[in-house]
Amino acid sequence: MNAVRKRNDAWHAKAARIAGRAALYFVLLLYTVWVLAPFLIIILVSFEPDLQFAREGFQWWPDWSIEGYTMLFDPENEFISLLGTGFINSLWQTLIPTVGGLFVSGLAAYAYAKWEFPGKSKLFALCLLLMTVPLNAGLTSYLFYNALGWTRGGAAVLPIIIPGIFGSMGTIFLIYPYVKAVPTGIVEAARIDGMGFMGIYCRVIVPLSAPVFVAQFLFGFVGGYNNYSSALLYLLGNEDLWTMQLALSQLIDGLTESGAWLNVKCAAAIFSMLPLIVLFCFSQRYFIENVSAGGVKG
Amino acid sequence: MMEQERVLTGERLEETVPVSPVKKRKRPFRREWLWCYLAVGLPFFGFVFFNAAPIVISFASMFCDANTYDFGSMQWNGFANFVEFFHDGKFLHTLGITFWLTCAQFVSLAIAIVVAALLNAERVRGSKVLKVIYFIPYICSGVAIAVMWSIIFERQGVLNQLLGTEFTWLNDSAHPQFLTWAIFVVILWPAPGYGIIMYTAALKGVDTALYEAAELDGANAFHKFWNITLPMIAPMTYFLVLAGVTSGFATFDQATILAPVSWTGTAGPEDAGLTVQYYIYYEMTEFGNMGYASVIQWAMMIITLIPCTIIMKLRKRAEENIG
Repeated sequence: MNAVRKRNDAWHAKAARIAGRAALYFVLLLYTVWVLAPFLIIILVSFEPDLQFAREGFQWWPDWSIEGYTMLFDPENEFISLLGTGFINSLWQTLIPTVGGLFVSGLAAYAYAKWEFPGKSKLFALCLLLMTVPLNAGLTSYLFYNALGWTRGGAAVLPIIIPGIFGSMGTIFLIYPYVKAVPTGIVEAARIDGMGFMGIYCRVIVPLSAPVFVAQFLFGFVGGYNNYSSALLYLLGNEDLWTMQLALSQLIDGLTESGAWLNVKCAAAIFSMLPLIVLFCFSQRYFIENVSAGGVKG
Repeated sequence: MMEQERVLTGERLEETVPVSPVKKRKRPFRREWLWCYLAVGLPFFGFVFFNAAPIVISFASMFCDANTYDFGSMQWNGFANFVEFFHDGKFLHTLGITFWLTCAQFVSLAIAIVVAALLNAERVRGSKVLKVIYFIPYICSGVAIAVMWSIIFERQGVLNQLLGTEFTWLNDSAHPQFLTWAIFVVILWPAPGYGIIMYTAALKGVDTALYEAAELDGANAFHKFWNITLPMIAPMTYFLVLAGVTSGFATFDQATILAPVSWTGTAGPEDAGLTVQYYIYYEMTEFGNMGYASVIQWAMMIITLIPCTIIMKLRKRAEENIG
């Protein structure tokens, strides 16, 4: 009798476990589909002939055609030159403030972490205070840059690349603990070997805390590449300076006729997302680890 | 938004990463002090010049007739902008839309907790790959995502086919709320990626002894989640809520793409896609009315401040509870 009940209990427990597992994988599958479906859909639409979409709407199995891509890459349509220029512009307009700002923020973090100078603790506290100031003029900064003359002609790019070069209090505090963790003995040894302030920074601090610099760079790059509002505000009147996001939005805007040329739109959207997705695939470790570090701490 | 999230995490990192002591040295190194002051000074210079100065000018322009495209046009007009502001029903409308869209951040948080808890269950195959997949939408731009979803919301698109309907989701004058819901979904879709990664890391950090003790007391899975897991990850939740609220209040990109200003001057039917930031942009560029745009911007700064302060307080308390 007892043996039977035991076997029954074991069977129940096993069934419950299997059901639980199934439910778990089912929910995860559902969410995965939700995340991936939009990508799949725009890939399908990008391969659907324009006429077919107009007649039959979206098809899960379209008459595969590369019309969208040939239209996009046809030099006569100027789409590709728009997006190509956009990519180059996004690249330099993002790299300058990201790399420059990271260098400057890292330098400040290094000065706070590894050097003693009068007034350091007060400046550090001020830094912390400024970081938490939630005030931001946002779009209305335009008036200030207009006063500087940074909104006319080619100078319109300055509000996008210059402020970032000076780093930010937030980045200083993100880098600070990693720089602080570099053994002081190594810094001392480098000093005795005759390295100066900058020498130690470039040849000791940055290489030894490389992961945090790489992660910060990647997040900064993604943020800059995806930035839309300031590009729209400052660069709209200057087509030569359009970034990828601005070029994409203007390209879509130019194809407003509802229901038409969706394949070109989709191809353009894919083209604009591809650089970051490729970058992410090669560096996902840094992204995930960096975010996880935040999770562990807090 | 990303910047701010990193900022707040960093603040926490600083307290917990073990650090080696710096030797106090009294010997003066004047030449190197100069380097130090230069290194420390540059960010301060940047702050004063590119954060504080625009804020001051924006503040001043609240009391002026100011043309966006001509700084020299600034002319004192007393409190005319404020009078207009307090009679502006449109601002309240945009505020309502913005709050509505900010709710997407809370939904996203709930999704993130559930998915992270599932990923953290014992021996889930492919959890690493799934985490990477779930993070991909988070690195895509708001513009591209909005374009992507606008294809789905097309009249002949996949959504209408699945539902067997024929709505123009993004421009249905009979149902203007469809547009707001569409933007809601577009914001919601990529948002959980960040929270999922953070929560999976945080959940791993919860002391398993707590669960074992609860099991001895006869707690079931739900009790354990509700009484142990949630309180233990509460500080993280408050942090993510804070980041979500700030980014939700700043919603702009998705709205401008999905609700372009029509020839009647509205962003979608009945301005259903007009968020506060979009309204500011519209006032600035369409009417060149910088003074009024600044009033809205400042109102929004103050409105953002209230929930942020409350959340910060709650977060501190939650930390004390578990610490």
